Amino acid sequence: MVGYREKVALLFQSARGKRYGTLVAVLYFFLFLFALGNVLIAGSDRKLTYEDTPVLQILSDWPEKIFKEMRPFNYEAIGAFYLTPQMGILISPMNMLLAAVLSALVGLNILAVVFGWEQPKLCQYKGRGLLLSLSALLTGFSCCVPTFLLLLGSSLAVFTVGAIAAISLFYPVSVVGLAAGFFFSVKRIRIA
Amino acid sequence: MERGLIWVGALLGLVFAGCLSTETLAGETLHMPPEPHEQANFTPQQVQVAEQRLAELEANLVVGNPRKDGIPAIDNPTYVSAQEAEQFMEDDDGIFGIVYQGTAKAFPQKILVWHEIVNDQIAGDRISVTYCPLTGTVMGFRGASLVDGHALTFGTSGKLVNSNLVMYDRQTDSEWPQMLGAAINGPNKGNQLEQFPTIWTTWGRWKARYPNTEVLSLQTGFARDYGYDPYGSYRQTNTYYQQDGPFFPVLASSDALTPKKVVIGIKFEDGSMAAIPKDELRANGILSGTHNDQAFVAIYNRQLEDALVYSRTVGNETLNFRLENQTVDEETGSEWNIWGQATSGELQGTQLRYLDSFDAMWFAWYAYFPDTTIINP
Repeated sequence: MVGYREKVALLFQSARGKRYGTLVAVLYFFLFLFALGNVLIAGSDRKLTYEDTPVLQILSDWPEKIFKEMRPFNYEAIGAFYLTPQMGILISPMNMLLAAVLSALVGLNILAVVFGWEQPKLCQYKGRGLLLSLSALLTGFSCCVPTFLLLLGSSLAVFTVGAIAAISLFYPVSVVGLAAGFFFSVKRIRIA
Repeated sequence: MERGLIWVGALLGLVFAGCLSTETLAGETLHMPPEPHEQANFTPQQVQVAEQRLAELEANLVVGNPRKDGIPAIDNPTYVSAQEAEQFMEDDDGIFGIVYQGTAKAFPQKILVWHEIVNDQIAGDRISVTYCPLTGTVMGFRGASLVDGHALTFGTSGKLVNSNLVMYDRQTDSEWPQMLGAAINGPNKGNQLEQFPTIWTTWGRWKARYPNTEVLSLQTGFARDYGYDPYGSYRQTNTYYQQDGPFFPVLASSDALTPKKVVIGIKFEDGSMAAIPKDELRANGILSGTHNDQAFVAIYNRQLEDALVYSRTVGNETLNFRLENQTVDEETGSEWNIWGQATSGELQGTQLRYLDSFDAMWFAWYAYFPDTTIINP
């Protein structure tokens, strides 16, 4: 009987799975931070920086802010890094940690999906848990209003209060769903 | 089987998050900003709103997504000169201007949209400039606690009523809906803040009128993308600021005007309310009228593109105003500026009594004050 660890090791033998998993995880990491408003991209009509803006800014009172939760699963930034005048990132270590956890789970699920494609007789995981990762991308807020509702317009305002309550749950639901998806995909690998 | 187990896991996540969110609703933030304890230079006033109405507003508080202070007030504002501000301000950027005790200050809308409250000190007075992007309201306040007479400073409670910012005071934790300007609960319940005039205009117009103005700097103590307004833009016509209705529940609604139509709401001294559509006032340039036997004048300044409202009664006399090159009173021919001061003529140096008034989106004004009268110039 093959143990759980051996099955995981088997998954990691898929070079294509590791490649795709890593790629998607990295993309998801930045996509999640973008959804939270931490990845900044300015259009051609404006700049993120001005003459005296340093490339790297760290707030002097960063120890007070680093664990300050502005809203559920969204933490205060302690600085900013500007790659170009049009592109930058607000540095929020806690948000980066949240993004890392989620993107690692997304990567593992992709690994399992690719393994399932390569070895359909051994594993039939279709990656349903990945659907939950999409919900985490809806957790971004603009001030008081969920960003996705703001984009859809206030004709959907009747859902605002309900959406706010639900969105607070999206991150943990994504984590648990992705973790469960990966766990059971490994468990169901059929090898003698 | 596999799909079922994944969803079971997701439900467990819901329970886990539910535990967290319960704590969220009742919990406090880890970091509490400083609470100045200074005696205020003025005395508290009682709100002219029925107890029942305060209870109704409290019962309809909506817990938003941000935590208490999740939208952080600026407690240690720093300012730059108009020249230095040119680096990050465009002429058509919106600003909220005040002239307090002779000091002109500009608060860029693009900064306040991320902070909503600036607690400042001018000439020994603790003042707060507050802005709610959801209702398009900017209001300047100063207040004293009913408990000990200490000057009040404010933070964001994370709650809304009528889609409008609800502040809390750092001294007693009472909650104050911005547009009401009064506390609806806590030790300061019924306490009415004193409002001072604010001007909503553009940077280009403000600096032309007040070249020595101080401007709130980008060094707010927070990292934000200050060039980006999450709600849209006042330069456009198809964003939240112009289109559709509110995102949050309101206590009353009216089709008399479109929801985002900007009105100048006026709180009269007898507790009655009125609203002047701003576009119509702009076209007319002045409104010298009477509401509930209270004579008032709305003085529109074409240079600043904004208006403030005053009582027309000076001493025992009621003045009548008309627009020439500048606002003048018919009785003495004295000229008056937007701050309600006679700048020339027989009454030079006289100050009209300011009536609490501010720009607001119609839906929000009506939601708070459904007994309002619409006054068309």
